[in-house]
Amino acid sequence: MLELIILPPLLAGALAFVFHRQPRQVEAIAFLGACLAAFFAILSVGAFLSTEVAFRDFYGLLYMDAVSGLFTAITAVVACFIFLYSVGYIRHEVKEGVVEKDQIGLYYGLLSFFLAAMLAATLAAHPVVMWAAIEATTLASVFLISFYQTSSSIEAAWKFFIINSVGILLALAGILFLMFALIPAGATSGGDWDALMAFHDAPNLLFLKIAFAFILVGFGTKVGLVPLHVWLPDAHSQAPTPISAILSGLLLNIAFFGIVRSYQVVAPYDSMVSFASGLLIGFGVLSLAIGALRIYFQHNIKRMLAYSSVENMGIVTLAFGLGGPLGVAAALFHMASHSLAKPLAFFASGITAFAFNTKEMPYIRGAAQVIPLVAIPFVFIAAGLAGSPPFGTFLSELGVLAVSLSKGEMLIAAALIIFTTIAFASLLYRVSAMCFGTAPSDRHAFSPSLTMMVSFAALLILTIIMGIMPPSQFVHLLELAVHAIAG
Amino acid sequence: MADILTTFALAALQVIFALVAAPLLIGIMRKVKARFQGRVGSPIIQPYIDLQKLLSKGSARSSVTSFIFTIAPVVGFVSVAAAALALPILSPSPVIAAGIVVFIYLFAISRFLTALSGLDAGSAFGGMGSSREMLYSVLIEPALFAVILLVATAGSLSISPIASDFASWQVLVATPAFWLIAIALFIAILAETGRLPFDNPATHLELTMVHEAMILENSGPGLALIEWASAVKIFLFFSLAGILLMPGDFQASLLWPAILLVFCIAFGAFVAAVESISVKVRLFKVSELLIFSLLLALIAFLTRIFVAKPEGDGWFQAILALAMLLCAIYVMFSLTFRDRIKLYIIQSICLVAILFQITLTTGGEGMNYLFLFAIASFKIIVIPFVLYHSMSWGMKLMPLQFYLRFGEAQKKFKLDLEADPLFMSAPITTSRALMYAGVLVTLAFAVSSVLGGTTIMLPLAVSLILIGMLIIASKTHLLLQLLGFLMMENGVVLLPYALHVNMPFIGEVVTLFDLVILVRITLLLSFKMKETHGSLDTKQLIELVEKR
Repeated sequence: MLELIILPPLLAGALAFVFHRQPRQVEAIAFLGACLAAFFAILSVGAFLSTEVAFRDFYGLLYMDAVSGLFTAITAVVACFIFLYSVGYIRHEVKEGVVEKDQIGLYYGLLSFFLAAMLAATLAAHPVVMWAAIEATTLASVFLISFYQTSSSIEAAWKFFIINSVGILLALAGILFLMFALIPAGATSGGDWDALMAFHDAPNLLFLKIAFAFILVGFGTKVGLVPLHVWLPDAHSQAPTPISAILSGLLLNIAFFGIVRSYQVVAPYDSMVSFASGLLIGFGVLSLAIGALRIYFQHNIKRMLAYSSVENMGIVTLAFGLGGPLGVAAALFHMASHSLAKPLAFFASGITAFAFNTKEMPYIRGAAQVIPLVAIPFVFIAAGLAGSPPFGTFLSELGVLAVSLSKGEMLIAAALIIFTTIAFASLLYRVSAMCFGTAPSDRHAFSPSLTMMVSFAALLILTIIMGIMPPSQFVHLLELAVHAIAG
Repeated sequence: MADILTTFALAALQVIFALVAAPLLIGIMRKVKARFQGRVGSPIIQPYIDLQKLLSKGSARSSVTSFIFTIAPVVGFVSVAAAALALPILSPSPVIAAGIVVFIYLFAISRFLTALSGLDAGSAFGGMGSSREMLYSVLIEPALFAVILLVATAGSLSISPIASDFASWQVLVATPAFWLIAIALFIAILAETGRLPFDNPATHLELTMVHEAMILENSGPGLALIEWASAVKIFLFFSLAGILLMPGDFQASLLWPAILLVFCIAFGAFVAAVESISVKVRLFKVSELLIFSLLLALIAFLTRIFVAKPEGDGWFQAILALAMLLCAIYVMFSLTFRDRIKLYIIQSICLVAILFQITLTTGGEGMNYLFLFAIASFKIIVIPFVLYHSMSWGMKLMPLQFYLRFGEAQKKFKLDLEADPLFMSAPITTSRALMYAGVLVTLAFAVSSVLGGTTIMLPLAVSLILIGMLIIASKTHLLLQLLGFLMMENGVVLLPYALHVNMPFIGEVVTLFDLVILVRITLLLSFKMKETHGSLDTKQLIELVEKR
């Protein structure tokens, strides 16, 4: 059944290229593909939850356990909302003449391939296949980032492309080192994730450390960990808004998934855990600090949200590095909450940018008068991104704080409080400056298209539900994932 | 008593051997150069005839000269002849045990006196020649002493082969230190003996001559001694190269003097060939070349310390590995697009050959050979083809061109890489590129030996990854960055073979597939960037850089 998760977007992508002359059909096919993927993803996760036994599928190439189930479910579900939002967004761009009708086929084709590659990465049974799928996400998203084909978007696309390709090649080297360090000489098979996790007596811990460092730097480039984050604000600010949403909300998770899997492999060794924790905490605190400090200084609304992503992924990495069941739970829950809240923020920013015809925040004033249905929630979403209730980020940041205090890491706790406060203040200041005040007199009420509003409202409701009382199945899945990682 | 007598006899014989053989070497080198220039050239024994002629003539000297002018040729000749005693030419151990320091400073005495006598006559040329000669010597000495450092790793300063424990050349050439020393030594010797990229021994053009300017005032027997001394110097330095670079077994053999002489003649012919196809570098560039030589020697010194002898993989793999490494380094030089692609093809061929041999020895199955075939066809044919034709065919091969809104005008345009001065230029200056490359290779070897690698495949893979990253990080031409990435990727492809990790077939195939798509996307993006930015200079990508 697992192949049915990947297949619909893959087919939809191919069909989008074939029927590129009929934009309406292409939209429908792509959205249908994403919905089917989400449907089968939830079905497979349900099947996994009923037995709680990890299983393989499709000639043993695909593998589903609690961790990959969690990542797959988040990816597939959030992607549906982004596909739906894309419909209104791209139609608006075509109407404005920014995008030509011809390009719609390219957009949905690549977007569907992008989704298929992300799902393949979470489901791959073998690390090298996972690596290839993550590289495929880079390949599929280059032309989505440069979709407007302005000189600055080409620049952003090239930076994204070359930095991530190089980074991810290092991750491949790390994966090969990992396999070398664990698999005994002469073994002909046994390179799959579950086999690697089953080894408990690596002969060469030095190789294992090098492998983990390579993987962390390689995938960390794609997660956007400071100082490897240089591509991230550029790509997020230049891509069309739905693409920014998928990059920030989903792609960063997928890259982080690579780190999580490798962490699972090295977890049985005590010295490795302390080594990995040190690296993760270091990168995490640095990303948290730089991300939080840079938010205030941005003028481009999407650049600001991009730095918020750096900050949030920093928190995830930090929580993961602190480790223990609570730390890992906080990391995964924060990641899930961020995956919901960040696309939401991008949705709101996209509608705001349409209403004011600019992405430059100094020119956006009094959005509450122009688009009240979007602007008012936007303020709360911004607060939620920085960790305020009723969003899930509040719970998870509290969790991280609790873990760092219980472990006696006062400096980390202090850094967490200081920098999340800075991020909170900066985000709220920037967003409320946009939403309140008096709108320029030439701005009339703007009514965003139905699809954009529907997907915005639906995702908002889902996010609040997840923040206040997450479904018991999700909590159960999270528990299983935490158990799989932190024992 | 008998011992002392034998030693003396041996010493005398060695000096006579050097004095007699040296003019022969000069004659052969002149002959080779003449053949290169399409002339018949003077007979090989011409230097002897010249010496005999000069010695039988009287000499003229300027009235302003002092005694220095008289003694300089004699002292110079004697010190050079004495230097012949410091080398193990006729016997396995040198007659003067003082070794290489004495050897080099005996030449310094001769150089010092020649420079003084150049000043002594008070002519403009002599002074100019002397000042240039002393500038050279300041630069050459560190390079020569860096070679000594290598000798010192053997535990003494006497001159012996760099690795007397290497029984045969097959093993010796598989060590990276050997090649680095060979290149460093070659450059230093060319400079020390005043050969072509540094000084032209055949010129009397005032702008370029160095050594010849110093001795313009000399004539008759004095000139003969100076010429003879410089011939002996050349012979001795070529011998030094032979002694350092030939495996230990040769020197123990009875035929050693003959082997050495043959080596010197071959080396001389090679130098003459190099001289025939190169031009003299500008005076200010001399320092760069010599610093390069110095750095190479230092790196060789480091590899000698860090790198264990290669085991398991024989000279075949060692040479292929070296070729792959050189290709990666050479890409950084100033080259045309075609040449850079050719380098990638050569590197890929070497890669496939190495992988083939490893698969053969470890007993691969059908699937492994199928994958090798796929690698070969993609890396040697498909990717270079696509790259190459992006230049001449424009975008005809690009499936996505329709969607990417290229206008009709742009659909016809080509990347025009042959005429692109940016692509022709080197990403970083040659000497810097070599320095970085040397440091990176040393690092890779050091890291691998810490990891306990026994073959040179692991350090090779790591070096390729590092050099590829260096090319990418040097931020020049977009397609050059792509080439850097491809080189890096070659290193990663090598890794599973170096580590003996089994990749699943599907993983290998999708990886290769990703690579091909990546090349395509880069090309499309480069067409697009040419349209929006007007060039492929990645230094222009600064629109999004945040201003502080």
